[in-house]
Amino acid sequence: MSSAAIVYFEFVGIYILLVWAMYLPFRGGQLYNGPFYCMAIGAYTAGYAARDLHWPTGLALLLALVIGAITGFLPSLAFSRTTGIVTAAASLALIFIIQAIIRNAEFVGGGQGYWSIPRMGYLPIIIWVSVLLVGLFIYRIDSSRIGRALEAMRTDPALARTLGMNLPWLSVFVMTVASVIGALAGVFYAFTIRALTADSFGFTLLLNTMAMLFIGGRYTMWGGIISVPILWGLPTWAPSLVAPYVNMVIGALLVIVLVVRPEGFVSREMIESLKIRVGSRLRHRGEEST
Amino acid sequence: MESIIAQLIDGLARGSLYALIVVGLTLLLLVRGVVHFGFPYIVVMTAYLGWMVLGLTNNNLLISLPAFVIIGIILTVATEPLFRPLAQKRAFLETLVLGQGIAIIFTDIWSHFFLHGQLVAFPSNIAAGGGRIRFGMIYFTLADIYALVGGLIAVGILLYFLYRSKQGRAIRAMAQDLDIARSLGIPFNKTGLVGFGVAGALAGIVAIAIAMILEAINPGIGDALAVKALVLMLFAGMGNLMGGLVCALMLGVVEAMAQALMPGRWTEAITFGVIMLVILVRPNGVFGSRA
Repeated sequence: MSSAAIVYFEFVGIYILLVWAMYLPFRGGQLYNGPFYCMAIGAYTAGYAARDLHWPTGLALLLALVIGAITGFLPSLAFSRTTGIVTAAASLALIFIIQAIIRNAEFVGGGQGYWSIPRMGYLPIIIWVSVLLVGLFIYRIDSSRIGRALEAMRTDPALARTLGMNLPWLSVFVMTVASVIGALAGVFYAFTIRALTADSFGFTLLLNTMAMLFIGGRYTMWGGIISVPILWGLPTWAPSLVAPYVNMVIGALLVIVLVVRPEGFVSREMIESLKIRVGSRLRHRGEEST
Repeated sequence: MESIIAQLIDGLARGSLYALIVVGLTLLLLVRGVVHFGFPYIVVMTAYLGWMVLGLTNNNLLISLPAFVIIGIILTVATEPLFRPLAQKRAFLETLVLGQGIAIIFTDIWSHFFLHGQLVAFPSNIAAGGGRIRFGMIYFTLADIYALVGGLIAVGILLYFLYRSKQGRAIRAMAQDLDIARSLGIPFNKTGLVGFGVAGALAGIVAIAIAMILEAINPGIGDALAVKALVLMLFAGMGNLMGGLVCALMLGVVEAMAQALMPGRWTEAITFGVIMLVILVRPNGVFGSRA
């Protein structure tokens, strides 16, 4: 495989993780931007541990996840009290705060950026195994009691509360898990690019991830799996005349999807009907063989 | 002391810029129940197109200034049909993301088609309001005065429109209860278009203020204005016009003071940190919610 193709696969994995990190709190109706802040923390922690502390990359990854979990847990205690637009806008502030801290932190290069991060062996394989594991985890959550509780929280919080659900703790749980996934994406980002700046974790990243989540379909975890590879491949696959304007195309797609098909490309109904169709075909085959 | 007065004037001028954008966003929130995150980007787009008109007319202000307002109205009204389906479904968060889609498109347009994303400077007859004033050590531009006075007049006219005119009453009725307003015969589409038109005129005025106060623009300015305006709107309390105005002016002053008095690049972190904490403690904003 060419190196460009490997980088493409690595980035598709990283962005699928990010989209899932946004998807999980959104299951409970929360548009939470904390994962991006933890992505920056995870990337810088892993980079610093591997380059300056000379830790093995695997250990650096673990450290970044632990720090990501702690720094994700703390703000989630406050954000579990808020809902809707308040969570969406106030958690934006986390991104600007961490960017300012990075720009002022001289030991990680400050405004100059942080360079020459060591390589991680078998990176593409590690990324995709992680995507698989995180995917399985989210699939389990989706079809468990927690998933149903999140669904209730999104559609009718008052009813969910009367049914005895502890919504603040549910929020803390999904926001912390989302933050750890964000930190994981950050670690992989650091080892893929091997050079970090505060601007890498800014508003542009947020807008692109949001576009991927909403174009793919934000009510199911499969949306990102469809939208990320297509949108990441756009710059290479689009005709050379369109390729420089790929962001414009992504913006236009986002607007069109929200106006014409607000639930996104992959909807919950689509997945359900697919499950039923596949299930009946399997049953049919089973009957034929007996 | 003198330098503090100069910073105060500068801060108030910047604050009035934020205030006008927050007022526009609040008006759109009232008229359609949408968080039009694309509105600040429309303002900047108007400034870019206005800069083109200035170039084409040899910096003729008599033609260019009305052109700013007309461009603002056209761009804002053009986005109204996009928000209509989501507004009818009351999909609040989705309108925020739709605005972000508009943001991506506009930012990419500026990066490609206006001096390839480099700084676009406004000509001297509009930048700084055409002149600078000096009282001893106090030094400010005519634009600071224009922005403050113009901002006050624009908000005054808007308040008169909202609270005294028939259309304004229709908008406020729709903001309170869409279903009852519709059953009373208030036209959903027409009222929305009028509201977007008024916000568009405001966008044109803010674009002129940007040309005068900031004197130059680059593609990154849309993000900075949009995030500040959104956070300010929440800080003041969603749908609270006067609260938004006061908070915006305050932010302008705090920013100008922080730039003068605080070392390093901590201003943004501290401003956003304080705003976030206040929002978390009082999710309905410091002035509560009226919408």
